Amino acid sequence: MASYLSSILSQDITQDIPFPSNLSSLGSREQLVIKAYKDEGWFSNVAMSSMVEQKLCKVDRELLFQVLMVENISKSKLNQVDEIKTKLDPKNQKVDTLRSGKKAPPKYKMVNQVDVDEDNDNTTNATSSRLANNAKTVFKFTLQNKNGDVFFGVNTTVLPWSSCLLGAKIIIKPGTIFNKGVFLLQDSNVIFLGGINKIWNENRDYKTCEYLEAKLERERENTTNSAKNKRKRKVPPN
Amino acid sequence: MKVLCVAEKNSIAKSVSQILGGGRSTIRDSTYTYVKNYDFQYSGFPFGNGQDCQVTMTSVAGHLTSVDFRGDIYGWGKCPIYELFDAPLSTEMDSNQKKIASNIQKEARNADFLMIWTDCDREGEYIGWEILQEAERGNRRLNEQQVYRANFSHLERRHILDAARRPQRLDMKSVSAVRTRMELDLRTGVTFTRLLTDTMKQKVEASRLQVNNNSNNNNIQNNQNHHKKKKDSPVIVSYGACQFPTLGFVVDRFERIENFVSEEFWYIQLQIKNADTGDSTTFQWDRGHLFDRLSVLTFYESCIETAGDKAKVVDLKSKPTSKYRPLPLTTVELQRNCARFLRMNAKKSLAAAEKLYQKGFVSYPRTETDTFPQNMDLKSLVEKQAQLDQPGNNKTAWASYAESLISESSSSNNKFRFPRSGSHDDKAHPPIHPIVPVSGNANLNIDEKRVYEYIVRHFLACCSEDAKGQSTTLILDWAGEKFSASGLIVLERNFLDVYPWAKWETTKRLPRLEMNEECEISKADMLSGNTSPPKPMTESELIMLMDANGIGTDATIADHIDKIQVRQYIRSEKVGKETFLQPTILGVALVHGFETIGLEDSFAKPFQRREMEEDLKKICEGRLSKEEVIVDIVGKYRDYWQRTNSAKNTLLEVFDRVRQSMS
Repeated sequence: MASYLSSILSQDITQDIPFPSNLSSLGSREQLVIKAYKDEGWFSNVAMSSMVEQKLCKVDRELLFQVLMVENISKSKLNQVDEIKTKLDPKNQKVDTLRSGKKAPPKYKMVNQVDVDEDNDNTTNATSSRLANNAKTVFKFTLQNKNGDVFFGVNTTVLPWSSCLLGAKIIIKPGTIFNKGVFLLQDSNVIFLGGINKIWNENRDYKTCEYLEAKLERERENTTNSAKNKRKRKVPPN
Repeated sequence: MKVLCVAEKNSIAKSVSQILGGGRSTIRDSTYTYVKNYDFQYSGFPFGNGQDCQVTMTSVAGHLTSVDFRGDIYGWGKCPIYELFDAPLSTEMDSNQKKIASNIQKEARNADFLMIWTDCDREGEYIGWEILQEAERGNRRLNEQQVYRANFSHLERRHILDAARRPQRLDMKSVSAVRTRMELDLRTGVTFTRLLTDTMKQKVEASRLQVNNNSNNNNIQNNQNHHKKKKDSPVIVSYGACQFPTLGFVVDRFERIENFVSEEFWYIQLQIKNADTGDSTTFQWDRGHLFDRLSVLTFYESCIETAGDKAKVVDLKSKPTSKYRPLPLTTVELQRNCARFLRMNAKKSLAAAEKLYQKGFVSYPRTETDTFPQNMDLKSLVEKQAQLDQPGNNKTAWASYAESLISESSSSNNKFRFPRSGSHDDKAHPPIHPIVPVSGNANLNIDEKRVYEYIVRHFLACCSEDAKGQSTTLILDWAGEKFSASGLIVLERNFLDVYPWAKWETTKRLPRLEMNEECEISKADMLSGNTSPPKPMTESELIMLMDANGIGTDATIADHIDKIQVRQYIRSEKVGKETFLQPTILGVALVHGFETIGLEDSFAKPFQRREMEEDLKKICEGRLSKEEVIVDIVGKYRDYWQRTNSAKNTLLEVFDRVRQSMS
């Protein structure tokens, strides 16, 4: 019986998944997953423009999604690219800060003995503030339902599964707040089912790095363009 | 019984002989102008069995020998460079060193005992061994039982008498470690310097000539008389196992700035009106800045829709807080803080501290220790700084502060307290501290005076109470999102009064709110900002990075920074009050050249050097031998050299590419 659940967890849910006609023989969790899968998709018959205009409404049923992407939006993209590159190529890591090398293997770990700016002040405690910062980290999840519709989610509480593999499945429970295409996720209103899509996870660090670099390139172009526009505006009219 | 004592510098020999001789030493010239021989009687040596010994105290002037290759066989252009990885080493002496050596031989001739008074660090141990070699040449009767080593870290009378009473032995493992370091630095330095210079000299000279010509052309246009530029010194593209990682830190920062992309971020901020003052207090979002507009908008709209303009106080903490006094002073911290606070570069500040030590004003300035021994009488040092025997107008600016620390009658809460303990102890020297106060007519130059004042103020701050205050934190809940504001009232400044460089000020008052009170938000904004690039490298930061990653020692860090400036790999650039270090075209080209060859981690990154430092420590601990370390590291460098030699064109191509992109 467990094979139905595992078939969902290991598949791309936008593909057809066959189910037995008689669900009563399945366990309650499997029934919940299959029901969520079979249900009509969230905003399925509504135009995209209305969905992104939809202000604050509550989810009224269990919704099944697969995770397409997880982004740490508490950290700048440049810092994330630095960390990934250090992990992938520690020999070439930038060594100009005392924060360097946290993700490097031991041989290439940079030593971090001193805090550059903190001047021995007992009002800050490095370890506890780091833990507190982790608790405050916000991740942006790109979620997809069986119809292929894509939504976003952000965590408002710590989600123990935030470093999940791509293709993992979650059920968003009724009562969850939805605003302009984004679910506000709390640990208590999400059931994490696990699962994986192997292809999506292949060379994930490289892909993430390329994705972040492409976004940075776009930001660079935007900055250059807006600087050009500013210069243009400065030209006095004839 | 005759005893020969030899110090590392004449100034130390002079001070020690005055203390041991009770001020009754006679002075004789030696064969070298700057080294004197001091004769006196002393009865405190344990090997003298309480009898008066006839002591001669002399000195060297740093190292007595250097290690090199024989110039006639292995000079520049006289042999294939790679032979230098295996070529025999010779011990060399310049004419001054020969004069000093002959003085030691002569003075040792009739000595029954030899006592080494070199600085108590690895390098001092090695110099002690060099002295021993010369003494043995002059006196074949000397054996290891007759050779002692004084363990001292400053020139205070009791400390020196104690060092004379409790001599130890030379540590031959440390001698071995220094010998290893010298051999490795020589073999790797000479082979790569010759290879790099031969490869790049012409190109670098041509590039500099072009820059000079351009600059001359401009000068001619401006002023015909100023067209003659000083001739540049010949180009040497040197390699040093510490120089390159030092350069790497600067280049990495330069490129981090060059490649920086400003990113937009968004955040939420609340303002609450203070009913008492009418001022507004800003509450910051606990989630800080988020790099996604849609997500922040979702939080913002959700809060507005759910809670409107009402927030609730969910945490209100008011607690005593302290600003810690500084930890006892190490060399690196001295250099870093002189750069930050006094705008004095590391080489200058260390040189000034050395002079202060030689003149007896401060303790030995090369130390990694940030913990004072518990039995050290620091209170008496504070008392000296109080200058109680001086008339008021003759006292230093900090004398009254020192007096109040030790005065029983003072009503202040700021009383002498034993300094905090850090976690570093080099087991050789205590933290840097003042020994005697300066008098008005003390023979100190301006840099020495400034460094002395910094050392004293730092020391007095260490011996003071922490600054005390009351901090208040208010946390508001707005539809589940937390926003906080903090306030501080400084109640007792304590050490801050003598340490003007630490800032800790009372802030604006927070609104008067109670726990669980609902308050009205006067303004809730979703704001945006942009990340900004880091600043270029400062010398203070560079020192910290080098120290943390084992590049150089407290004594050599300043020299490495200076060397790569002399070689024109980096230059300093003054912007306002700050001085930044920026790489030159050559500096960037060298880093990228080795990166392109595939040797990035061995050259411009700190990893290879750190490994070597760890090996040297293992030699000191007896876990590795000199031979094992030499074979391993020379083997690696031989391979690096061959790879670099077969990729010389790559270095030149990278130089052209970098010149094009940086011009």
